[in-house]
Amino acid sequence: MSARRAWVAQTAILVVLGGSLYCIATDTEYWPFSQYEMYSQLERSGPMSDLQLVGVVDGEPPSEVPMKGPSTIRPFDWVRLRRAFQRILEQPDSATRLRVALQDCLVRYEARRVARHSRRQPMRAVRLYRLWWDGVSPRAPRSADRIMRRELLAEVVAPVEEI
Amino acid sequence: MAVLRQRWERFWFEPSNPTDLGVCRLLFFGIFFTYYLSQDLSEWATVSQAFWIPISYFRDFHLPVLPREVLDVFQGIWKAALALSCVGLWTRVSTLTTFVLGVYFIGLPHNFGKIHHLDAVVLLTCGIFALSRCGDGWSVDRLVRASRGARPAASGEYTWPIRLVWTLMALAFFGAGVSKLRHSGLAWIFSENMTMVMMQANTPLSARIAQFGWLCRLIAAGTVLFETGAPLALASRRARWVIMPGLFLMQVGIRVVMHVRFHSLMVCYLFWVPWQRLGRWLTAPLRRRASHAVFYDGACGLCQGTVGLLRSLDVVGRITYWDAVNDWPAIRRNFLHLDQAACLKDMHVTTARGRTLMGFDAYRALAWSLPLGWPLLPFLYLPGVAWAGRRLYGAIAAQRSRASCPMPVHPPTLTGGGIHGAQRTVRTDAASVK
Repeated sequence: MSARRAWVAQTAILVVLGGSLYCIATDTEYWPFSQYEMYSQLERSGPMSDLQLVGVVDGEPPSEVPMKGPSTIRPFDWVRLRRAFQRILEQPDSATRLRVALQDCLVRYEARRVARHSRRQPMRAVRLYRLWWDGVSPRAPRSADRIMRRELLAEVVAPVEEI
Repeated sequence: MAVLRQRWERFWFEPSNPTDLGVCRLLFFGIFFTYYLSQDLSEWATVSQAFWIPISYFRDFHLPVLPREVLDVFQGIWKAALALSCVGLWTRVSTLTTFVLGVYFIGLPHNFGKIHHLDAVVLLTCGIFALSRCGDGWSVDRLVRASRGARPAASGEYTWPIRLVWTLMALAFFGAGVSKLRHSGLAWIFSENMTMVMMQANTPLSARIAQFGWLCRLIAAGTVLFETGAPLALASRRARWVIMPGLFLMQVGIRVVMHVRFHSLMVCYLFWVPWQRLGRWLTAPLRRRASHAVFYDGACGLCQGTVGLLRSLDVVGRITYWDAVNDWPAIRRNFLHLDQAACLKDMHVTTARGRTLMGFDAYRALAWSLPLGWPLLPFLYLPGVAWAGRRLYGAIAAQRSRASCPMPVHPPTLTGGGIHGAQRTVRTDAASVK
């Protein structure tokens, strides 16, 4: 190796080592350097909660369809979208922002449905819920019938001409 | 201090040949090219700014979401660069392009809510490839250089990139382990934490495991132990054989039990595989079989280039090469039926069964011996190809003369040693000896 190439390699090594160790030592994140803190917080027993995004489709009565699959929420996947909603809920202007975000989900769904001549039903609204369920006992796995409470966080209705 | 420095330099710059790094490049970029090919990253331009919570350099440098049409163009360039990096064509430029555009494209989705930490390892690995000489092995660039007679020598250039990816992975696991202990202490292991994690995952298998508290604590203890112990894999060869397979199986287990995916990071395990040794082991039965012998004009630049190319393609090492100029006494002893003038006129191949072939037929016989030549075989046996091939070979051979095919003039190549082992050597070959 030439001296110049050795210098390039040593610099790369020091940057990667330095960046990674700094983030670990200071418990900070500067992506792509990270302290990798996922799953590090203690999970305690008690009621558990999660977010649920649903679309409202026409019918008698109108029914709710979960919006979780990649085809309904692209380019998001549900894990990313759920976290995005969680982070929006942490923001000071969360109410306004959440409505804009839901409106965006609805508009993108409809645009894709129309563009692809999909057989899916048009959505007249989207709703974001927070679900609460019993998580006290390990013998009580999470399932629909264990849901204790469902709290509507926001709803956006499509303008009449779009339905 | 001197011992430490010596160990540092041995770890990063121990001379190795370019095969392992080249195979890692081919697989790494091949997998990510396949992964990103079907993804339309320009769709992020259509997402509302309500979701926009910029990360690190997007925030600090005020990087915006570019218009969809612009993203489409750059996305095309990026994916082409990923493909070129995979095959190793214009590798320096393509890997650099992959990294520079990857800084934007790999980072972009993380500004919309969730940060997938493991993509970070992918981006940094792209950066490491961009700075490395990863195109010296298993690449189109290598074949082009081989046809000009250049052969890369063992060097620390091919060691440090692999070791740096190892370090990156070890630090990622170490950071995850330290974070658990920092935020939750030993309660992360000994409390009901893992039971609750399993319940949150809400899969049939995780719900079943959650019923056994002792099993959840055992899994938690194993996780912290392997994660915090990951750096040991860098220092000890024995620890490496336990820790890295352990971490790999742990991630497979998490995928199966909790349906959490670690695709990006799992691709990087390929850097821990000793590809060259594995290849030698897998191809040992092939090597034991009798091989072909190639006889060429060692004083002809074109023939030298062809042999260089064949050597690069001969990954199993089944072919022996005889220079009909300099090795003639030995050839004469071993291959009584050969004539030197004929060998200098046309490239000859003697097959394992003792058949001697020339020109196009020799190349077709070699394609059977070279695994990388197997895809060509059906084409070489198409009606008319042999006829055209023999004429083409005849035309090239007729044009060839030592005056018109000068020996390649090799630039001084840097070989040997690690960081301080650089020594300038000028290659010598048959013609320059003559």
